Amino acid sequence: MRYDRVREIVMKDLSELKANRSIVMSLVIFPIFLLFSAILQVQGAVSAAIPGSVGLRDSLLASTGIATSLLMIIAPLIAVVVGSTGIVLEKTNRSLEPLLADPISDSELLWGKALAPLVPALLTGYAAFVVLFVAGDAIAWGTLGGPLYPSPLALYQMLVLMTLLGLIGTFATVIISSRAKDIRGAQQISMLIVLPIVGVAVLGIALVGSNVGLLALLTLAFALIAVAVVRTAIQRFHRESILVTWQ
Amino acid sequence: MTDVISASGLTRAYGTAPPAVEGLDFSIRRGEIFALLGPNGAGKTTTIRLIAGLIDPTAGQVLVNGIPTTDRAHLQEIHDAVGILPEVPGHYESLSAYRNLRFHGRLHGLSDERIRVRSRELLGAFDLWDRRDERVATFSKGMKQKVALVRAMLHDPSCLVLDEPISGLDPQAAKTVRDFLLEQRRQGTTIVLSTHNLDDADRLSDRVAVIQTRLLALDTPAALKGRLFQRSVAIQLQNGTPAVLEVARQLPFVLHATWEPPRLQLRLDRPEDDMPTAVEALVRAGYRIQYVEPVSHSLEDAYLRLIQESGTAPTAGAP
Repeated sequence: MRYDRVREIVMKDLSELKANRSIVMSLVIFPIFLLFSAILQVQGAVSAAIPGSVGLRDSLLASTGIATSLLMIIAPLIAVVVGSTGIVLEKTNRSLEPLLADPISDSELLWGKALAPLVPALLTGYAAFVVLFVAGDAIAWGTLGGPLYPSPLALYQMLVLMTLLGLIGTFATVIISSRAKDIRGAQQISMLIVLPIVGVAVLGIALVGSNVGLLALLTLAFALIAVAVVRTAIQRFHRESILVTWQ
Repeated sequence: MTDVISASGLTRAYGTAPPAVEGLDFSIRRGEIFALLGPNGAGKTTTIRLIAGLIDPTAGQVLVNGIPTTDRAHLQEIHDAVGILPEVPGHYESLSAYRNLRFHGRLHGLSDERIRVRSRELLGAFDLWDRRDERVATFSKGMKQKVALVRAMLHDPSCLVLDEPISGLDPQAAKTVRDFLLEQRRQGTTIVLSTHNLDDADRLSDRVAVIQTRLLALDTPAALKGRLFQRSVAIQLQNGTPAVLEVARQLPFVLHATWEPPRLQLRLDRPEDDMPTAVEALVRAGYRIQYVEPVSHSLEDAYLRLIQESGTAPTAGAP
């Protein structure tokens, strides 16, 4: 696999994405909405806290766990929206045939098509976490006398769990889109299948909290699902079936 | 001339449906224009996709410069050897023409400098270099088609595979594209052309293949016409009457004669040898000849006869 070709596909898809105002808006509005909800939750928890009480930081982190869990939805959701849109654009432009006539392998095309949505999805998700950390610290500093974030759990959620969910969402979208006969349907199926899975996963993370054993088990489960989804995508992503099905 | 493309027993079926193409055998020589003709659904686009290595045959094979298109280890060589123009240009419409070209050029491993030089040369040939930074979405159909041709040529392939390259273009744009193709042939590029425009096929191609799932005929346009139609001569008479048929039929070399005032049409084996005698006989019988001309048959006539003989009438939209 040649990474310069994968990078070229990613850069081209991102250039197209930049030109699509409605998708860019969804990239901005949805994370802002979730971020705003998360910040409000932190604000509520801090307001209810008694300054100077023992274990205040840990209790605040526990009561704001849902805030960081909420932000984990951002990456997989954006990956699904952008991923299926990138494929739809290839369909509506009828650009797949000239693309497949270029000397790219199936795996280069797959990784290009997967990384194009995954990169902005993860960057947006990470950015949302960073903003929450800064805003959360600003809100809690007066009560805590120090920073609330980043906690080890929040960092773990951001760097490990959200990344895994983003991978799962992206590759599941690629599988569905590459097998679907109707592209619009593929978009809807992606949403219907991927989002409930992500929702259940995020709820699980919120319930597990900071229990290290359960968290490790959950991470292992996500990792296994991610590996299975990526492997399935690699096995099923064939230029010919895509070309014949998408036309 | 050496073969650039060689197909043997080429067959492709989609699922359980009857094959789109079956048992095609042909070879395409370096520097020739080879036209694929056939009604809608005859398998032209499938054949083009097979030649370009976009899909694999279900039986038989295609060799591009001696390499089977199914050989994934030589994917780069196959795709570098072939430039394809699909039926629809297939640009990234929100990007500029140059950004489109740069994307495909980089995937072919061209340096940015090489992409720039080739783009300037090829877009310049179509008077599009000054508009290279404009979004493709703002281009007319003809301009998009020209940019797609430039894209197909960008990596300097030895073989161009073109699906309906002139379809829907205005006469001026069509002439530009035709001239461009002839220039490419002069430079040694092999061109495979799928078209419904039989006039273009007749004018441009060195050989034509008529397909209807199977190969019905493969020859030069002239040979194809000659093979399907015996040679005829039309004689326009100033004072012709139906009785002229009697005079014509008495000539032993006349295979068939028809009278459609004011023209007498004779079917002959060797007009060059026999016409002086025929003219002499008509003049002797008192007929005044205004002029004599060979009856020419178009490629369209030949195509329609082949399709008719194959037992499949052309579908709507076919010529």
